[in-house]
Amino acid sequence: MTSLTQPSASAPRGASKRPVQAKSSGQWATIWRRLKRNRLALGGLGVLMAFVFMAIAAPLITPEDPTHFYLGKQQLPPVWVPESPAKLVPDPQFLFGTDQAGRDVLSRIVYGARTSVFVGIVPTLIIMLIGTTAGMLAGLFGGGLDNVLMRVVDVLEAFPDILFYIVLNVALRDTDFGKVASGLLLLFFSLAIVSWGGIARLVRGTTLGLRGREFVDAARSMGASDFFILFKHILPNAISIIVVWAALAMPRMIIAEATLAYLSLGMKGVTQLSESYFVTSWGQIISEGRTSLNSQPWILLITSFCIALIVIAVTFFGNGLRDAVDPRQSSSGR
Amino acid sequence: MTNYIIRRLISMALTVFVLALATFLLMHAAPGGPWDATAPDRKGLSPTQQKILNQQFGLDKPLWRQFTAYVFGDVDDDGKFVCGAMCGNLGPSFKYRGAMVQDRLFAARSDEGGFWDSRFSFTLRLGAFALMLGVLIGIPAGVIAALKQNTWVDYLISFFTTIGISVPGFVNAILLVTVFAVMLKWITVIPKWENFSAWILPAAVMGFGTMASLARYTRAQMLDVMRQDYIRTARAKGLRENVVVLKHMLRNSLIPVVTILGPTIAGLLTGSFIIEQLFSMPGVGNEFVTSIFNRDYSMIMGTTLFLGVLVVFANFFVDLTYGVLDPRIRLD
Repeated sequence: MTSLTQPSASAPRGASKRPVQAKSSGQWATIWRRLKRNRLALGGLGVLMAFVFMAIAAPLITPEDPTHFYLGKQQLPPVWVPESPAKLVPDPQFLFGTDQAGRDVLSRIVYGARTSVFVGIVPTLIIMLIGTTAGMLAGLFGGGLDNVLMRVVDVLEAFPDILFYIVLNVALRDTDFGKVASGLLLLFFSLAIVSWGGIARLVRGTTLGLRGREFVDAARSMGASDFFILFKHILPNAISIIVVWAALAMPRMIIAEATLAYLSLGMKGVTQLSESYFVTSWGQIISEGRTSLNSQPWILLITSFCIALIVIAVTFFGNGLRDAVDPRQSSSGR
Repeated sequence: MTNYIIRRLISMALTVFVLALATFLLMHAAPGGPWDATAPDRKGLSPTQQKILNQQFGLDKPLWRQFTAYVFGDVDDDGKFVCGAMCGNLGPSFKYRGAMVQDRLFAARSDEGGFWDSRFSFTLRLGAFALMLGVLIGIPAGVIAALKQNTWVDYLISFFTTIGISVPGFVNAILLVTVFAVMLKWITVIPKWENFSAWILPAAVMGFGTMASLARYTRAQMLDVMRQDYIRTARAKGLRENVVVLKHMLRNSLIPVVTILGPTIAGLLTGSFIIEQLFSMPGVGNEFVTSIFNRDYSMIMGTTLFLGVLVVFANFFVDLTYGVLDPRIRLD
């Protein structure tokens, strides 16, 4: 981990002028150069970008309104299935077929990508913010604050996150808070409040390691305040670790959302396209499709495949990023 | 060692207490009591009936009193002390009238069955079976991958481990169930649990993630150990390759592998609910999901607490085992 700090610690060139900017651009350029050589990571990034495009451009690329019920066209198979178990033939208007209520599966899956991408990004950012702040404060000030924060982290980490997610969502889903943005706010809140422990611990450790370094002592002897030290010396040196952690946390958020949606917790679906920016989620499509597992297995198959694909893509990208940030700690797998 | 165990037990009790408190407060923060009209199957209860039910379940008492009664116990109307969750009494279920939460979890589902007919036994058996598959396939796979590093065998194993680790268990489960049960019709969707064969697919699906993480971790440890001096020494002594691999490499590689068993067992015990539901297995996880749908708050709380205790104990035993296996680790 300390290898990241080397450029800044020695900082031979430009140390007098804009030391932080000069170092951080160089650091990221090096990371990008290493990342570019990793085909799996680039592939992952490509797939992720495709999903992000789907998420943003959903209204433009979906062939149908994902909330519209096509009466008399329920349970149609996708175009590559000649005949469904209920003896229905596909309709070219619906490439992936229709669900039990007669809604276009393709359009729903595209809109589901929007939820998944959003759930991958926003809670992760919130967690980064909470965890980094808590970790830096605990590491820099130590003492009682450190003790309290780390005991809270101990409790959070003692149990599987999913238990906390479920309890939080069950308890608060019918409150006013749980109804904001069709339940997305509660979902983000519960994901963030439970999962900041890991990154806090990591940042705390890094802060503790950096706190005793010469450049921090030097800054302090020149009269730098705690916050100056945090933002100018500790944060820039910890940022790459935080980013790698975030990249690897994204798939966990996506999976958690899908699991909760499968349990009919988390986001509530909308019946009108104009109602919300988010229409449905993949977990919800699976949850709805579970009852028609025998008559329409393809809905579950396609949606599960999408979840698997985005999760693998983000994981590959995250692993590549980790290796690029710290080549010595290369992944144990390939 | 004794000191360590005592301190650990105290901190475990505190952790579980905090979990109980948090769950209790959250369940009580849920709007609408368990009896009001928004709850499923509860329509048409008059205010008087609700009041009687509240009295019957002790919901009319102050919140702190309800909590201490739940965790430690309380004196009932006849002046007799009724022990709470710390004695395993998780209180009455809101949904199933007359049933206690612990009975729903541990008692036999029918009159003639014993413990092996209880919901917990299903979860336990499924978890044990999955763990067994994970260990029996995952560890040898990791060893083979390490011995054949950078050959197609290694790449193939890496491919599967990557899928097993990154793709969530329930997505794997859905994919496998759809392919094997629905499309290929190999397995009946409503299985008979007396038959051993009914357990294979659920356990394989659940053990897949375990298998993958054990294989990856074993491989990494093996690669590390293979480069140690004592391995060269063992070979130089002229030991047979089998002995070198099994006695010198594997033994030393497996010690750190034990550490990931804690989170693995926790994951198997708490992650079973979707698999149980998909396979209609009458286990604790399935009951948990049902109680979420029914908004049976006492059931959700009891099950969460029970799973929490299981997880905390699993981690404790794994840490102890680690200390015993590796004398260099000193637990104090």
